[in-house]
Amino acid sequence: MERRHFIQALFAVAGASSFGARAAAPAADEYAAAFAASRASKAWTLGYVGLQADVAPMPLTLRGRIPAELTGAFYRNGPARHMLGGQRYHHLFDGDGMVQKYSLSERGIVHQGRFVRTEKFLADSAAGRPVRAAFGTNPPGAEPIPAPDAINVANTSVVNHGGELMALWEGGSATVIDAQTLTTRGPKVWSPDYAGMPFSAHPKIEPDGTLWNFGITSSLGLLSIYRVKPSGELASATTIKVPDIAMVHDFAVTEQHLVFLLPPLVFDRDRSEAGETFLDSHVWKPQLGMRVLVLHKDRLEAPQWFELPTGFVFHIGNACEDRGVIRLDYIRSASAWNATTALKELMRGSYEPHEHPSVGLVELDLQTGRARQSLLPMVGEFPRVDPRVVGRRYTQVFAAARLDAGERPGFDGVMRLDVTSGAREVYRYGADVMVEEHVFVPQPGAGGREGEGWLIGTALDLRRQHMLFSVFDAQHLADGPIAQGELPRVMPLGLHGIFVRA
Amino acid sequence: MSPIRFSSLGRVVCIAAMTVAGAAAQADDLTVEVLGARSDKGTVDGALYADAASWLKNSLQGERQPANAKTVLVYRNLQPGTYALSLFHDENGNGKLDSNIAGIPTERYGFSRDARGHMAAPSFADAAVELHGDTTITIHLR
Repeated sequence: MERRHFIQALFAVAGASSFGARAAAPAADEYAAAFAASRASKAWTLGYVGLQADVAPMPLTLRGRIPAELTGAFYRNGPARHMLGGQRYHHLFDGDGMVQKYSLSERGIVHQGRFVRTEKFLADSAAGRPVRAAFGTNPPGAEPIPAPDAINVANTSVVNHGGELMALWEGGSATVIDAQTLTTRGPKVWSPDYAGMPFSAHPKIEPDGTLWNFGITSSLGLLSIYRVKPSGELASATTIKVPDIAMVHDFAVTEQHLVFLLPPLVFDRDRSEAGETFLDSHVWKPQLGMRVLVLHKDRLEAPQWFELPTGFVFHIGNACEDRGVIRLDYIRSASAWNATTALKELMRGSYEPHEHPSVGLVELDLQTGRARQSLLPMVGEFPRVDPRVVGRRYTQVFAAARLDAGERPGFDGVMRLDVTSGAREVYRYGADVMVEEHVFVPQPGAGGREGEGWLIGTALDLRRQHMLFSVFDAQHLADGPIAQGELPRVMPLGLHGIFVRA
Repeated sequence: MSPIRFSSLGRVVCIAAMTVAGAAAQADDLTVEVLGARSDKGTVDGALYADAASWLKNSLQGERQPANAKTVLVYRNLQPGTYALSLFHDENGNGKLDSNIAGIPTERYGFSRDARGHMAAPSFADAAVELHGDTTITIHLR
């Protein structure tokens, strides 16, 4: 038994990569060739070329003034090395993580970026080609994988908690990073029992500083839950078994509960053992609906289940509860097409406007077990809220918005959405600007009201081939940035960011 | 739905590791140079097996030495023949290969010929080394 658990855990994450190239997989250079062929005709591909090396500190040209209260650093993580030794990865989420830092002060903005020195980054770099599996790619002749962290690319998000900055992935350990130099310190060990266990990329930090996170061990059908004290010390970690474990990227907290949306993209161990990638080991089973798992914070072993109409989700904005009813918002797609297909096609330089997400508003009645959902038709992603209202009553969600982006993937604006009224305010950068996640930073000081502060974030200007760093008054997005810096180099479009006040 | 714990492959490896060898008639020595320890804490524990039937179950000899950049384990007085080794770095000195709750080893381990299993620990055959006269081999912990 014991050995079987060990083996299942290994191979579920790794795919059976040790079997080397499979006949069904596209030839290694097919993606590289297709992407290269579309570079000239599709300007948006600039955001997905990727980098091969760290980028040294470089100042931005600044228009406007950085508010003194924004002195600190904006960090963003994302897959940045999409290709090595002629092998291009087949999914956007495969590439090695680079943590970027925009240092902000009244003197201006300085940018730098450094790849996270994960085991995989070092092994692949030494070999001059990917020798370990990735989320959506099994490179030809890949090595056997002794543990999930062997393929951890630390490429999804970044969190600052208990005095440590950590680069996060979904299938393995958090990786501790030096906040000043971005030097990699190594995997975070929360406890001996949880060494190397998955620690997902969307931890929630409550207003009192308590951090909650989860991790999924797909092969064993396990959901692990971490509760970390404000000091950074693990308060508790618990693991429960969940039937038909799904791909779960994010979750939500309320005052008393944890809420998981399980899209019916279900892990199939047989596929994994047959050599499929981790992504392709998942099967779309719409008949399961979107299951909702609610756990009381003090009774994690006693789940309550709800069901929503079938659909797919990456991100939840926030959740709260009032008199036995949990309310949450999330970015909902009708299917997993974006995850399973679009983000692969993108790596070939191919885009098809097949399906766009909308905003789902959900109510879960803990007494009756009933779930209700309504949809707002606006297209956005990367929802963020004021950190002071995480898990508490809230009205405002900030997100990247797709307003009139035309024939290309991604976003061309930002929005502030009132989830109680459906009203929104937007700012449109323009069709030629690919907008990344923007992060809300509260105005410091006691008694601040939700949403009082700044929205900050980055974007790639395709026409001028440089990056923009923008600061908005969060309550006046439509007025445009109050300060904007131009970074005269192109960075790979990334995923999630945070602001850390100095 | 109650919280669960798994024990590990580690137990299989380490229970066997400390079995003391019986009397041996021949004078061949097998010297094992172990590289790849993560630190110089604790010990490197290695178990020697004489055939597929006993592989990872009943070892012929156990050896344990303080961990170092290169740790040397010597198995003495062996008859010529085929052997295989499993070993691990007992970094915290608790006598077992530690694992996390999913059963994945959290200390380093290795097998002779640096064999690595696909769907299980490697087979005896994959890890087998021939001993005819005094022999030195190298194993990398991972």
